[in-house]
Amino acid sequence: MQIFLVGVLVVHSFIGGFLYKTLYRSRHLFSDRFSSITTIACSTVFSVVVGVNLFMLIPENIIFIGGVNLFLGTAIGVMFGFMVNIQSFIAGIFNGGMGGIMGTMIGAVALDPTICSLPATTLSLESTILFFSLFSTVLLVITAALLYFALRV
Amino acid sequence: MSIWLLFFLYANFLFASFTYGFLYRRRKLIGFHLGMNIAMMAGGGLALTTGVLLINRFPLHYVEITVAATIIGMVSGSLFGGMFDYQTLLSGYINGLISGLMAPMIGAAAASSLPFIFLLEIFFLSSFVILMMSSKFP
Repeated sequence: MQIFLVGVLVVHSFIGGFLYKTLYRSRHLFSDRFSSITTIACSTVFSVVVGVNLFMLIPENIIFIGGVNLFLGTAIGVMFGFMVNIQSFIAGIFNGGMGGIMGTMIGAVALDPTICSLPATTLSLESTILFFSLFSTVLLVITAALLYFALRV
Repeated sequence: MSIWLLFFLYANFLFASFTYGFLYRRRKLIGFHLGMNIAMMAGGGLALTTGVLLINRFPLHYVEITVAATIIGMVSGSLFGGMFDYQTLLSGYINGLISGLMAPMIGAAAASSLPFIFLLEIFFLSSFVILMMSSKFP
């Protein structure tokens, strides 16, 4: 299961690198509104997805992995926001950090629903991890496809 | 209790589709800024109420309800935003996705109390009424 999660994270980083390269090549064409929406969408979805998968990889220490996710989400937001100007930079920092914290929380509740006063789940641990990894991959691919076709419209 | 939850879910979708039909005839009158707010409100509100109602009806299935609320938020935000512009579609899509991921946790914290759900429904339906009135003053 560990090897599967590491493979999923590698696939996610390849999709992210491809999208970053595509957006970076045409960054001079962006208006203010389009750069803000692109930064919000990219940084939120990437940091949520990376947060969920990283928490499922190391579920023992929630404080440590929460800090790592906050740092990674802010770094993703800075990377996507620094392409255009200062207002997309602010939007990227805030939404990336919020997405990292939220991804940690979603992963924690999915692995153990009793911390949210829900009854224990009927799924096993492996099927929960499989379900969330595939769902996050689908979310990432849909978002990347929408942003890729936004350059054509 | 449970019949109220399913009735509210049905009423939400009925009201949202009625609002979509109402706004679709007037979409030429609405500018992009109002359109962005309409898309964010519709997608986020529909995902939030769907997640809260479904987690109170089926408390055992957390994972499936997260997926269902996320997909409903994405599709409704994209539909309401797709009336106007591609960037409006993107903003409605991202707001529906975030609200759908958060919604089952809010519903679990509510711990199946009926007054909270009544207040949420009043908030949701009145915000849709304001959304229909907003096309009169574009």
